[in-house]
Amino acid sequence: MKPGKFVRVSTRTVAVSVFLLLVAGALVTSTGSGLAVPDWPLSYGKLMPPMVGGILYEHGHRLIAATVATMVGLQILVLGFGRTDRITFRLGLAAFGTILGQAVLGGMTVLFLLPPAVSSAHAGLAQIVFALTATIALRTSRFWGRFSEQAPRIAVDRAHLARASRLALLAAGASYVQILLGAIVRHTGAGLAIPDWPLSFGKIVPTGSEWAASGVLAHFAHRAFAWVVVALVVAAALAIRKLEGVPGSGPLSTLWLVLLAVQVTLGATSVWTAKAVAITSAHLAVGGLLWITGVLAAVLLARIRELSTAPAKAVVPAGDAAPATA
Amino acid sequence: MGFGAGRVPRLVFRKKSRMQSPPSSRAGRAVFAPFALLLVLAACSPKSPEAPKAPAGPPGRLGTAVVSGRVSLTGAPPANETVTMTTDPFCAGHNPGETELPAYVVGADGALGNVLLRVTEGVTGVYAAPAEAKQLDQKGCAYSPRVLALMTGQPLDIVSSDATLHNVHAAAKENKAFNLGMPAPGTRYTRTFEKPEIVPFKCDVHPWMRAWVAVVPHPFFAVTGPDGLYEIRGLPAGRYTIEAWHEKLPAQTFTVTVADGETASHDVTFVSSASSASPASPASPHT
Repeated sequence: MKPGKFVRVSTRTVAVSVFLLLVAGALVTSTGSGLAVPDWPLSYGKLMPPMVGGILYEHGHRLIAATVATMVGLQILVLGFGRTDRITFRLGLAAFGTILGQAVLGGMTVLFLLPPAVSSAHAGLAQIVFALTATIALRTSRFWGRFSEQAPRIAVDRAHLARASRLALLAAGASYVQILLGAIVRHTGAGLAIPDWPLSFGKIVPTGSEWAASGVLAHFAHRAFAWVVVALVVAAALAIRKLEGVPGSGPLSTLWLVLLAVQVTLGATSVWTAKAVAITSAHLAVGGLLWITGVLAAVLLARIRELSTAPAKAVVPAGDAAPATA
Repeated sequence: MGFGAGRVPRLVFRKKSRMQSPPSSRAGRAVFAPFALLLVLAACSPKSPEAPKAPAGPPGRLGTAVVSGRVSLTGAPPANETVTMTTDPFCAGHNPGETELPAYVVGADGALGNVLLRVTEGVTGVYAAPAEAKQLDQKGCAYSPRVLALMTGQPLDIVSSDATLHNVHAAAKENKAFNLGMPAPGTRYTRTFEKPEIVPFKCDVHPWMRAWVAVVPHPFFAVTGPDGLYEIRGLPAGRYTIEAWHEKLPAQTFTVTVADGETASHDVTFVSSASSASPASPASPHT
């Protein structure tokens, strides 16, 4: 049996909500409101302080986080009762555990006055929650069912498939490393440590005493590693595009490349606008989408490899496989 | 459908050997490893400074020498940044329209206010902090005063006169940083700083609110008013290096020699130019 409409809509809603939570978190840091509420878990000793100034962003983020964490918790029930497979159920448990850990990190970073290591971990773990919930939404979707049914019949060069799969994994991994580097830049205040783009202090690589300036190393690592991400995403997207007959390969490849172009533009614009709030927030959000596209591409390609190597009788769409419920 | 009687618990309680760990578990460890590393780094990061012991050493002397003068800014004063305070109706009510942030307080003939002058070399001995507290108020969604100096160990009263929420975030590096909520008018906290430093204060609720509290290990300092005048009194006879610090401009130092009962006059001139004054990049507080 396949997951019902309620499950599909619920998991999709949870994944979108987690993305909105990421955007809310981005607004907190972009507006410099991370310490606008000095206490945690209450806000100025209350559940609902006046939503003025930076409190709007920080307390708003807390309210959204509480709501989304509840949704991720309830998602476990939806998955358990909703005929989903064991792996998807486990992903649901992992998502809930991770978002609880995320809440603790959020509280710690407020109480310890935004130590960069804790704030960066908070930013990085948020993207793990996003990846888990997006994968759950994919695995409970109609597309996943159709994809799983068609996968065994897809005639695809196995070597090419393996190569595309490796590239997708590498691109997703590199995107995540880039997210962590971006988090370090953001939380150490290094966003404008190098004031020009695409050059750095008018040169390709900073020289001499420029490296000694605060934040230059982290900032340059982020912008240099961006080109590694660009190379890997372009290679992976082109490899996926060549997988003719794989459902969704063309749109997925195009989406990935478009997101990449937008993200590079936003990164440059963040510097040119001296970290305009809307631009830096969008940079974080699109970075998340770029990473999720890589994750989902890797999951889909792994699914083809899994099904195309399995004996015909073992090929069962995930929605029908080993439900977690009795 | 419900949770299967043996399925879900088995996911939790079944133990597997390391060799049997599925790829997903290994991937999970790989995913969480960076966070473990970051948390270890956080745990190993420099801890907040402990409360220092009472300073030891010979007591510092007071004299009758005075250093005074005038601080000015030459050239067209840079434009102060302006903000609208519409994110908080209380602040907007007190500051309608565009409000200028007083980073550059420039009076007649270029007189420059909010400049801290402190002796950085030439003072010896340990000076006891006065018991009288200095006060930093939050009034009309601005700090008052914007630049304040006090001695190490001297109490600082942080108060709020505003009927809106503020937080007081002291981003100290040498002393213990803190972030306090000021939820109502009349809220008061008293804090002391034990190490010399210029501590930036900010309100994260109202990001335009900035102040600087200079912590000095002796009583030989002054902050200029709108007339740009300063006077450092009570110095013993000697030769001193004095620093003039402004939140936006590069600091300057000068040396004076003064005898007991005398007044040494020294004017300080900051130059207003794009190279020396950038409204977007405040001078770094330093010890």
